[in-house]
Amino acid sequence: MLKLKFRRKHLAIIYAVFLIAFVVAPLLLIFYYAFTNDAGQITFHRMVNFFTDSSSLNDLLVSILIGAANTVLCLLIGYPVAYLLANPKYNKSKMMLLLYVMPMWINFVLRTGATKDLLYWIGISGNNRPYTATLIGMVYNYLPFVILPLYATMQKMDQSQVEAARDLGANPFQTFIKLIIPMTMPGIVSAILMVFVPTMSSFVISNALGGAKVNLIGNNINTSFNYSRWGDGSFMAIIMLLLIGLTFLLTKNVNKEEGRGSLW
Amino acid sequence: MVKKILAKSYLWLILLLLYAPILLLVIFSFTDTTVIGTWNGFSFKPYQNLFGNKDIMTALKNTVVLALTAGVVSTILGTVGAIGIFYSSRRAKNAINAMSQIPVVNAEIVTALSLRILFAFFNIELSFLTLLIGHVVLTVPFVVLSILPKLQQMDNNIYEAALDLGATPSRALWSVLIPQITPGILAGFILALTLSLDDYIVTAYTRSDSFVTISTIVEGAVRIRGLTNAYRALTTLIFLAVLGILIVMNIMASKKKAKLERKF
Amino acid sequence: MKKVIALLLVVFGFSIFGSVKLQVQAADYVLRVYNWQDYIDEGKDENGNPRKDEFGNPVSSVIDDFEEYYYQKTGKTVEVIYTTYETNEVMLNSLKTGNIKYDLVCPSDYVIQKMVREDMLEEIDMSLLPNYQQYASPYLIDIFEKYGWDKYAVNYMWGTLGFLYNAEEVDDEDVTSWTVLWDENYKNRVTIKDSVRDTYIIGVCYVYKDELDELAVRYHANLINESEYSEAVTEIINRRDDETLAKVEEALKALKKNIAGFEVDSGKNDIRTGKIDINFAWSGDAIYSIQTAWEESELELKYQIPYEGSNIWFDAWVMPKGANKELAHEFLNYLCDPEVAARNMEFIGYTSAIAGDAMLDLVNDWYGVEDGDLAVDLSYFFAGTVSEGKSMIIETDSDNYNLLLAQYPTKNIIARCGIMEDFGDQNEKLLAMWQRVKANIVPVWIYFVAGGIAVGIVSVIVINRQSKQMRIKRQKAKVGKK
Repeated sequence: MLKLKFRRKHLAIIYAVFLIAFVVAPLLLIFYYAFTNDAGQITFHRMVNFFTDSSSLNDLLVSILIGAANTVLCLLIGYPVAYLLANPKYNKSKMMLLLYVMPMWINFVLRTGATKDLLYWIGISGNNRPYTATLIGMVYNYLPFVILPLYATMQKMDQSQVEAARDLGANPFQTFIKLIIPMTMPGIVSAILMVFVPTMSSFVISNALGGAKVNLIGNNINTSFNYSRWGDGSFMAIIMLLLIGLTFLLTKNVNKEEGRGSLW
Repeated sequence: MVKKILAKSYLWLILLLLYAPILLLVIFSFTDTTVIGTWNGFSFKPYQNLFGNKDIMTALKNTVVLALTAGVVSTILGTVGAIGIFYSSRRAKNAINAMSQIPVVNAEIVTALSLRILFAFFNIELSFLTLLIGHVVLTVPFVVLSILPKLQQMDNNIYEAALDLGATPSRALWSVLIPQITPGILAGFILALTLSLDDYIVTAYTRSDSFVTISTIVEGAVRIRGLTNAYRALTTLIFLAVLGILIVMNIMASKKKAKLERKF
Repeated sequence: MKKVIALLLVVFGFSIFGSVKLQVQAADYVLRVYNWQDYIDEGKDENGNPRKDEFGNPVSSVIDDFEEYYYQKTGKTVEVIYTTYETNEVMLNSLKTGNIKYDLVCPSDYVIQKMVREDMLEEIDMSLLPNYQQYASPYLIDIFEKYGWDKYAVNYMWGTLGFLYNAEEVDDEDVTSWTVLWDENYKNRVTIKDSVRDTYIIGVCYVYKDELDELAVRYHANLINESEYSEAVTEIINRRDDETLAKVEEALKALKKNIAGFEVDSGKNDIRTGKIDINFAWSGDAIYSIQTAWEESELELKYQIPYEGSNIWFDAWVMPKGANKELAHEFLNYLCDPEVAARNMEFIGYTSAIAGDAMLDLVNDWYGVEDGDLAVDLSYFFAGTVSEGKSMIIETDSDNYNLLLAQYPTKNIIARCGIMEDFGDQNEKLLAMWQRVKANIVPVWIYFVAGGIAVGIVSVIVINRQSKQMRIKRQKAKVGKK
């Protein structure tokens, strides 16, 4: 009888089994349904359809643009916020930071509904400006997700380097571009990862605020699924996976190069 | 001096914009009206509507029960997994870590869709169990991520010492190892709770339609009719609750600080 | 440490207790009913709170009443788990992929055809439905028998598709044609349905307008009779060949530019708050809206079915395979009691399939006006279910005429309405077409912007790389000099 000595690493097997069953296997099924037709034969027609149909390409383009716009807007607004929060010259207590993070603890669907009411009150709605409304809703939702990683990085930032740059004669603009931005690159990359692809794959905000006129890939996957079209939904899910992989690849390189954050 | 004023004003301005939707709902939760913008005198009717609405109350209860259950299951599984990963060989560690990261980086709709397809493929009826599995898949990687750093900071020799002193492996695990990583476990539990409370997409895809959570009931309301005034009352209560927790945390933190300072 | 564990265990215990309590059924039996949203009187108002009737007594839910009724009748308790859906497609998805074991579902006609074809349903035992046999309108039962649905389906509500419009903002003339939706005078003031088959009706009636107009002319010239007319319309609205699909797709894409949006349940409210002027609506929603708008703010809304033709639809109860047949039949029979049917009808606004004396009296109550100058003959619907000699003609006036017709269309109106059929193999193409229609409209300048951004990013990366290489070269040169 083979008696296995209990090692702590055996605990990993339980976790591994769970992951294989509920994380890996489902993804394999997605691949299966994306590339087979109803009869179970392998087919690439979904891939062909997706890349030759102007509607799906349009939706992809709009998703990428909205994702990018959201990311840029959140960064533009959130970067100064994080910088000021992390700089003891301007902000000493943790209270402000907590106040900024607090919206994340209020249910996001509720927040989206509140945004919809506010926007309607000032005259913007899914009827007349669906894309504007959706973008505003996205920024509201994702702003805290940008502020947090930026704040974390800026906290670790070495203020003495900034002072050194000033002493060496660099004006604020040069300091900012050549020193501060590279030093905070990991935070910026984190922020991009947390905002860009999630924006494209969400559908709740675009449904609620865009009046069913704004179609992101997330919406399309959801609609496909509601119509029991697993195959199409699965294929678009794979497109999402590809985009996630792509974002990772691109930002990995940036991190490598700019990681040291020095003047040269 | 001017800089400081500008900085503070920017921070407060953005904060105000961030809270504008919520504050709007809070204000209009104290008047009996359907449309935001008309003030019909001070009234607690929305709160009456909220507590009289069986569906919302049931959803509230369901959400809390689900979050607690998912939190506990996820924490237990995550602890087991983290310990297992930490003591595994490099290859196993990399493999399991890679699988564990998938729900973290993946778009939530892909996770949700894949799980739903998994259940459909095996003809499993949607129930509280499938919903629980969905939430655990969503949260357990974060629990693991919370615990692993603590394991890395831990003093490794104590476990071996306990074994040498005659403790059984399970006793050593329980009384020696786990106490050292408790802060990580607690942090993971709270993180799992937060993620579960706020989740919509995975919930929508893995629940039985008779199990309603706050996210799903609010989503239906937002998309179709707009938030009725009962939801404004709900938002206000949640907002006050979160604010309350924040204030308590702040007080506890400053008390701790005062204690430390007194010691010296 | 021990405290933490104790706390965790207590929390865990509570949550297990809580979740178990959710699962454990206290009742002897469970009945799972899956119905359209807002399709039964649950005794609630718009806020989801219990409402009171005119005497100040709380209104009970039909579902609770059934549970009470069942207990009185059999001494056993039943718990009805009642959930709702918004479109047929969502319902099918829950049924098929969610594997949820419903006992009763209420699909529309074309879905029933599909479910029958795919052998998804249990057969109805008419002997267990005395109320349906006695009180359901023979006119509707005939239609069901003609299509072979009577073996599997019990008609619940029926109606038409048309325009719910604001009579103060919109010309009555305009809404007699589907083309009004494309009219730029109403840009952003009209909505259509986020439901593929319903909106398809609009598209196909637009594409084949000439044919439909000709049929109307021939009908009014008595060249064709009612059933020939409706059969011809049915044929047209069910055209599903590739060419038709393409033409409808084009028409709908053009339509999209003129509408305020797609909706399923918000339209009937939006028109009352003035957000839109014309709403593509199911007749029941229109009735609900018209009545509520008048009560709330004396706003005059009306319902009109375009002259080209439209759709007459039926929602009926079916039992998926594996349902608890005995319980399901009990519930159905209860719903077919004229008083219960009238209750539902009054609350949701739709028209019940149930006829009978009580129902006729109710209709007279709502729409009948003493010495009214208009008369509407409802014998086609009520014949065979009412007592001898009872008049089935409703005398009414111009104030109530529009609403009465929305509730019970005349035979002339029904003649120009076709019935939806299941599209079978073309369903896949239809859904693909629908997704393309709903896709974003991207104006040309966006392509330029996107292209510009892409070029910009690429050049930044390239320039960065180049300048780095230059710097490295210079550094190497410096070192070399030394």
